[in-house]
Amino acid sequence: MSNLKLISILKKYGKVKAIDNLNLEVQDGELVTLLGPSGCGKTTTLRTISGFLAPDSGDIYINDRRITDIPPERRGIGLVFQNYALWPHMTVFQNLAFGLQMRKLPKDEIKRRVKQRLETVRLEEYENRYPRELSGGQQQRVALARALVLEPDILLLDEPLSNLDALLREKMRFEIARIHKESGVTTVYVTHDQTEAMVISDRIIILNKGRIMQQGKPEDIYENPANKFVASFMGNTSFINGTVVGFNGKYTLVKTGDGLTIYGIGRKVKKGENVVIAVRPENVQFVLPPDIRGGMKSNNLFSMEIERETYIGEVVDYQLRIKSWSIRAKSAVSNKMTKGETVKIYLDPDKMPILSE
Amino acid sequence: MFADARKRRGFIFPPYVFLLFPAVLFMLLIYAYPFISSVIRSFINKNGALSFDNYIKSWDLYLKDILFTFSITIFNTLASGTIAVLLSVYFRLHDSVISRFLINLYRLPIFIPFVVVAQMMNGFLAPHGLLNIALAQLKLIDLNNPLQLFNFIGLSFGFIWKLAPFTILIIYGGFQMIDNSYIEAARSSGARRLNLIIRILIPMNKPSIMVALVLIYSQIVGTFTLPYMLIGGKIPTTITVDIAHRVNYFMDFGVANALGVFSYILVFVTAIYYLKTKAREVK
Ligand SMILES: Nc1ncnc2c1ncn2[C@@H]1O[C@H](COP(=O)(O)OP(=O)(O)OP(=O)(O)O)[C@@H](O)[C@H]1O
Ligand SMILES: [Mg+2]
Repeated sequence: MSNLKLISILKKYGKVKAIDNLNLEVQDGELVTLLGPSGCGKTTTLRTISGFLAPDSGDIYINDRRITDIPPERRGIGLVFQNYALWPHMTVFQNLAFGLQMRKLPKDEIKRRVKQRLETVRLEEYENRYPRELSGGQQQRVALARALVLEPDILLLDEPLSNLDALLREKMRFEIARIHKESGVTTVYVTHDQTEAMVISDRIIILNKGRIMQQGKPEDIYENPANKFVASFMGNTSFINGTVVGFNGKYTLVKTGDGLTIYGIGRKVKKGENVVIAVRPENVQFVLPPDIRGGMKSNNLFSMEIERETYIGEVVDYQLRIKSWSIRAKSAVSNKMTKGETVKIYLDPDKMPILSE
Repeated sequence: MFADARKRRGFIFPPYVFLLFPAVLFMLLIYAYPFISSVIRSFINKNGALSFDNYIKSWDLYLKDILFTFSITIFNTLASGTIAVLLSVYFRLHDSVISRFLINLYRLPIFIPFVVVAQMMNGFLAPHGLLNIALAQLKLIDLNNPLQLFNFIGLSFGFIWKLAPFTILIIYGGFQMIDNSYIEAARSSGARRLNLIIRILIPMNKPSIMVALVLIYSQIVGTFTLPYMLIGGKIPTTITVDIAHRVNYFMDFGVANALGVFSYILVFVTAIYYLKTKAREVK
């Protein structure tokens, strides 16, 4: 049973605020992901939690115990690094046993716990191997087991999968999610990979320049981005700029500089405000000729020109153009269209978030 | 697997192997030839016959010096090594004004040649040298009865002053190669400083520590100027001084060569170790 609380954490490097007044609460057993571009302060935040970096101000609590001034070795925090950081002169068993030996547990107990942990990560047969004799994925599982064997209050992972190849990374996402479920440890996970965050997180926190941009369940953030930054970071979002010209029921009407009118959902925008419409590829529907019947509402129906088409396996990725706007779209391979064609598309107004500039 | 690879490559030398010839020739001329000829000559007595005379004479006259050389070498290797490991660990784990100042300062002696060091130590450690005068000023000793330092102690002081920095250079370099994450993983596992140093840092840096020890070991065995200027012909002294003595005063190359062979043997043991660790590293 452990929760983590960061209260008004500030960390500056010179004039740069690497963490800018960060407030964060992680519930017991929750897996929270810090997601953001390079340099947004993810690692700095983790190092502040683990105690290797002292914040300029603010406080950190684990289970309501203030740990801001407690050295790393007494915080009860497990760490997993991007480079695994397995001690190369120790076998897998010794790597896992080290922390338990520091706690002066009896030998049998150490053996029992190490074996049990290696089972969780499915590496029982590898206990006598040295790290260099393991594959990257196996090394990362050992690193995870080494952190978990100490039954930490909090587990911190800093881009643990970014050294793995794409295929393995995808497999390991599920593996980490499974291990997290089994161990139930309160976890903060850092990544700059949006998909990875979506797969494993209970909650995602989007960071930019040391500040929280938005937090929430993966699907909430994805579907209702709070601002342009979040929208651009989640999914292959294209943006169309315009001005709010009115409201129609639940919809907001936006007019672009070159005269398009687009319906969408504007939660916090006012008439006359300059806004962007976030268009995700999966919300761009191709309307094939038989579908265009009389009576179908003509809002958000546009003719667009295919500027580029790219076959990427399961789907075809398009770049479409209308007037000065370029958006991305996807279609099944069976309806592949070619460059130069003009197509009718429909932008579902319920899925067109309108965001302040 | 390795055997396979070797078989496939076979012993077909690529044409560019000729590029190695100048270097190999140089090595043969400068190192191999004098080495082999001195070993051969050590077995030739005054009458030009093969015999162990030179060895018997060396053993009788200079056993004490051989042992002295051996103990000076071992002691100073270990002492420089220990000091270097401690300072390197300090440099690696602490980032402060003092550590940064020391990091910049420690390299200085590396650039001062042994002859100059010997000259400096001669003045510094002499009965009425700087050290004794300073100690007398502090009323720690009486200048009429100064510390006698032209012996094991003074020689070791000189060696450590000169060689510890070189040792730090190599060992600290090794510690710098260890990424912070290894240290942080250990600390978050509950390791305090001592365990961190003994169980993580030193074992991870073992190759460079060993290389440093082997290199200063062989340097100490072969150093002439420092013992010559501090101890000279007094007994016990080092093998290098004895060799110079045999040659300068007796033109006795036989015994000098035999003494040389003794120092080869002292170095040989560690050289084999060095090569073995290197070979393991390459693997
Ligand atoms: N030791 C340091 N000295 C000065 N500035 C630093 C230092 N460490 C980090 N920074 C700065 O703090 C900011 C946050 O860095 P941080 O390492 O936390 O980013 P990150 O989100 O982990 O990025 P990445 O995804 O590239 O790992 C960056 O602007 C970085 O340049
Ligand atoms: Mg980082």
